[in-house]
Amino acid sequence: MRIIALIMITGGGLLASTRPAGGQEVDSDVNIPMPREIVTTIPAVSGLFATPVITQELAIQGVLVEAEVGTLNEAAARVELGDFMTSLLIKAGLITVEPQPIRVATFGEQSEEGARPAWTGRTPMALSMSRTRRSGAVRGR
Amino acid sequence: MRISLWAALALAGHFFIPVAGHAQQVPEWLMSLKLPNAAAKSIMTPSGWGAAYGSIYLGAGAAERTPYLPSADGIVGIGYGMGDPVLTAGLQIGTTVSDLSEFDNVSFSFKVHRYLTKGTSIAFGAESLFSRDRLADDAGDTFYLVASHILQSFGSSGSGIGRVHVSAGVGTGRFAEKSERDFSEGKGRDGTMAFGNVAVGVARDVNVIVEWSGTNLITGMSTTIHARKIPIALSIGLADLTGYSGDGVRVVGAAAVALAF
Repeated sequence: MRIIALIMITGGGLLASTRPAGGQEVDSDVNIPMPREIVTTIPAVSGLFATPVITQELAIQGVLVEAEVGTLNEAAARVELGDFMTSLLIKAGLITVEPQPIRVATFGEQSEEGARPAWTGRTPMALSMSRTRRSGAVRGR
Repeated sequence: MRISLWAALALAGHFFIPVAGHAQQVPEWLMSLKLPNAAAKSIMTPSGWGAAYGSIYLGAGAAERTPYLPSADGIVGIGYGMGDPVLTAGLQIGTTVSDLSEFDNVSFSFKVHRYLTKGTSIAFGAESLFSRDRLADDAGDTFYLVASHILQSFGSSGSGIGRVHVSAGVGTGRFAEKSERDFSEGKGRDGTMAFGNVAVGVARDVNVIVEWSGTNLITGMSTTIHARKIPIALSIGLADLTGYSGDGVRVVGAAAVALAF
């Protein structure tokens, strides 16, 4: 595995060092099959399936245990299994996503996070709606 | 006395030890489901999988030589994946810079992708959009539709070795048109429009890839290494293996890194 990676890194380094790159060096009558496709296809898959497949099955087995004792929740699953696997388990009905309550905070009431007033402007009729999700509260007027 | 003590303990256990509220059975199909491994599934053709969940990626690619020219070529790209391809749909957007010296030939790409079921995913996308000079570096606006599937009957369920990833699609632009130089060399003007790739896992997160780009045959291999849980994809391949287009075999390579937020 490391040898293969080493060969690839070395090969790429040699390619980069021996011939300087430059997209405009070509004649105008040539349209080139680009290395662009390499750039657009590889990271897409790598980013999505960053977890090696070996952990997939182990993760599912772990999920089985947690589901049986009723301790599985979405947030923990996303940390442990990654987003894709978690979504798969939600789709399979193994993780129930509880709807996030939408709370309307009125004037003078403090928001859940940061203890800031929901409204600070001049119009007393302004409302702030906060919805707690992964990244925190979403607030708008 | 001892019996009553055990009875009391059992009764206490019954009341105080949490009991499974709603025990669920993991379906058999999910236990045996084979998903793509972490290595790339193709060298120069799209697949039905895409970036999502708020991940960004950065990549660079190089070709040892440009067709009909001795000069090398390179490109860098950055992109962002959002959405959820399993529950709704994923959207991958990206931009590439193909003129590294002037930084003035920028194009855009997008891919909408959706995981269907049991290792199957589809995508619709476009690339080379809004590029400044169509003839300078690519085949112009390219649109494609592609489906990818993991053959569920092959490969180890644990290590991923032997896992077979297949993709097939149709597209315009670079999938359908050869270069002007190919035409002047008597190789025709049209590609097949159809493209496809097969990637077989030969080791953990190492794929051997064979693909048809619409205008030529490509083979190569790819691996993804994980440095502190950050995936780094490395690919190297041989392009233009047939005389259908171009002027001979070229070496291509790329590296990319993805970060999730």
